[in-house]
Amino acid sequence: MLDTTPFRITLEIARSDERRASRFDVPVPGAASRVLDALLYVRERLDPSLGFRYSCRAGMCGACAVVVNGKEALSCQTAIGTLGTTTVRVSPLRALPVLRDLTCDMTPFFDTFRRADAALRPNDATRKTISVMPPTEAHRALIERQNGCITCGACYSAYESSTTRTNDLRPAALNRVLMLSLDERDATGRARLATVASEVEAAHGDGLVDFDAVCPVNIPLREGIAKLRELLAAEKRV
Amino acid sequence: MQHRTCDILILGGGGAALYAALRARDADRGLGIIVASKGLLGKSGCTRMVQGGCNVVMHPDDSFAKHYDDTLRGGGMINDQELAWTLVIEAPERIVELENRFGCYFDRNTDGTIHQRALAGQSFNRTVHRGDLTGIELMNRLLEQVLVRDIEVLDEVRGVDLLLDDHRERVCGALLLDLNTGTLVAMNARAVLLATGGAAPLYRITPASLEKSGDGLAMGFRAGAHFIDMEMMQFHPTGLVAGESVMTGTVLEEGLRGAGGHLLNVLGERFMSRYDPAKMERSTRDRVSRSTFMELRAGRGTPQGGVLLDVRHLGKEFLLKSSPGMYRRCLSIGYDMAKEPVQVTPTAHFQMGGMRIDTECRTSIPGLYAAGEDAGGVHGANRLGGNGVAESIVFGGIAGDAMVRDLGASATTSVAMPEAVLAASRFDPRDGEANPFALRRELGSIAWDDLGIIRSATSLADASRALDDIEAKLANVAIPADRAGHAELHERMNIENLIAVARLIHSAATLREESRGSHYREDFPETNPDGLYNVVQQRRADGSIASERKPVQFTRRRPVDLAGDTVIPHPGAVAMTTDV
Repeated sequence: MLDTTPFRITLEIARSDERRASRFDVPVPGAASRVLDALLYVRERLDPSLGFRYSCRAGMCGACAVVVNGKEALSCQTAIGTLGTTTVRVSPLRALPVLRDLTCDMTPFFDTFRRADAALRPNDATRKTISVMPPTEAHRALIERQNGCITCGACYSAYESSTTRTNDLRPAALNRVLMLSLDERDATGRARLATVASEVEAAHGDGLVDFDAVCPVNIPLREGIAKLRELLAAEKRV
Repeated sequence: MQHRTCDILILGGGGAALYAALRARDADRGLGIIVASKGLLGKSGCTRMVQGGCNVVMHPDDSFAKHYDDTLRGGGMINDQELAWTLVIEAPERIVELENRFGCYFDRNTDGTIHQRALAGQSFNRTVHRGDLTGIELMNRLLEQVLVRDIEVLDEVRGVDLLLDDHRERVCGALLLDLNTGTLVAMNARAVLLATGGAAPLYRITPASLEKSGDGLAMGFRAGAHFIDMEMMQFHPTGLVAGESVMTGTVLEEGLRGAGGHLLNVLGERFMSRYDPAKMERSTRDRVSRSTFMELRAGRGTPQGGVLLDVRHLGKEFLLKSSPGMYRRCLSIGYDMAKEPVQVTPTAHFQMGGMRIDTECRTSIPGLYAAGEDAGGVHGANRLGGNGVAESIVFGGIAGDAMVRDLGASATTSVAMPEAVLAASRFDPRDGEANPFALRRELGSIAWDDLGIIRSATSLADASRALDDIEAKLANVAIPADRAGHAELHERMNIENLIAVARLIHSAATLREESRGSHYREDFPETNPDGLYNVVQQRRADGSIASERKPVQFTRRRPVDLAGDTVIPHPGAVAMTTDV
């Protein structure tokens, strides 16, 4: 049922310009209202200078990832009623340069995909037919398990929160490398895999970081990194 | 103001824009290609939200003729027949390219062959998909291919206006505005592609990404491009009702109707029996939307303004398997689809009309190209589910190829500086007290009530007056000296562009005194046999709109060839994803 019992929250926003107001009293029309609804309320009625980003508002584009009460989340998918508090603190993703209030420069995040060469390098680019690829084959099922990333940067942000390393690839790009390593259509699987070996070890060793828990589409990132280690170990044995 | 130069400028960040960039880059590695996106590249726009999938003829028992005929029937026979044919025959190559070169993986049957299902209005199961999250698969793979290529990406940079040469005959760039820094850039380009998306967010309820505001359409209009079919706006029948939340309007895919979901009014009646007793909920999008709108208007909706979509009898297992994303999304709003009906409303979904293009995506202005929702004609009066993303990838690809080919013949033209300065003068600072966000809500209601699912001479006259009123109030929205990250300025620009599109819709809808496809006139409810024309429009020197009727060119099919309805496959054969 659609809950239409109104309540109020105090929205605390980490502003990039400290002279700007950071606390707002915001009405919420029902428990399923999103954090994004509250941000829009502020921008449209209280302070139009508030910077935040969103696009699809359906949890599919990942543009609206922020940190809500200390945890990475999509503002469009976070129902205020599920937060268990009427004080809602919103801050920008960690580990990325802040542009304005809640918006970050996502370039360092997308650069991890560039550095990892995380795109199919086809072994048969001119093939004119669709390959027969049964979905039940083990590697296909595994690729599908790891698929569906919305490149929101939540895992990138959570990863940074307990490590001091910089310039590493981090879970989202590594996850795509894993998918490509298993993909029969990819020509550079092994070579690409070798280039990320030390990054995989580092990510694996970072046992404190619970970056799985922040993935809004529930990709088992940690299991993926374990699988990458397995593949690398198998490569060594060959 | 900064001045820059490139060979190809692509405006947009969705499927058509990215596909064009990839094809142009791969066709000629020496060209300077820039993609400027109002949001983050690959995240803004609507391709990402595609749930249903992409129509493509692959099965030996299917045929180009069948897909083509379905498309023309769905389009009320006023499609541009050459564009529609291009859509059909190019789509298979794109799917092959997406799989074999760009790394998409679409759902398979258990034997490993590609899985295809049928959306409404199709005579064959020809929709390729990945679960109900096809758009994410497409956009992720296109985006990462762009990232690893030498393509310059300008994130959060919007087009303001096209720049023309001294004779105002050729487009030679665009004035751009960086949303974060507020910097204006006069970008000189030898070819410009408009792929910024349609203007469905003109309407109060829409599933489209809300940053879309018909920018490309408005820019093209101001530059003098020709338009076609602007009265044709598709309303999806099953948008989610989530109170005042931004989640309201997001689409529940129509596979649920195809699979046997029921639509009920607040009295519990399956109301489609009143409007289309033969096809019931499996009727076309326009009919189901209109029927729902009529139920709501008659007071047979819920207090929140919806009707009920009941899929309980399909079972939780089926729902989880066929529509996992949607099931989760509803659950987070408070609806367990397996246990209770979900409130739905029609939602402004897709703009069929747009700039008139040839089969190479050229608009009426040399140097200017359009693809995706910025272009019109492919879908005629109504678009079939699954033909939208097909259009994006087919015509995005064509635009990329065509721009590169045409560059060989085009001399470099540099932007006339007075032109850029003139275009930039709209940013001269001024004071004002009006709240643009409130104006935007007002505009959304006007469009919804008077330019929407049901129109009449009276509603159109009301709309015209209301648009004048909004335009007058818009002049009272401040323009700041510091444009950096200024949301009010952007909303002002959005509204300006949406009003331009609304006026095109208004003028075309006034001229078409009949009902056809998505265009319904309460005062002319019948489809007129003499209605086989397109409304073609262009800006007059004084800024007003010249609209005229042009007969459809029946180059491949005559109406008599396609008499009768599309034969829909048996319900048991559709919408079930065998493998996830």
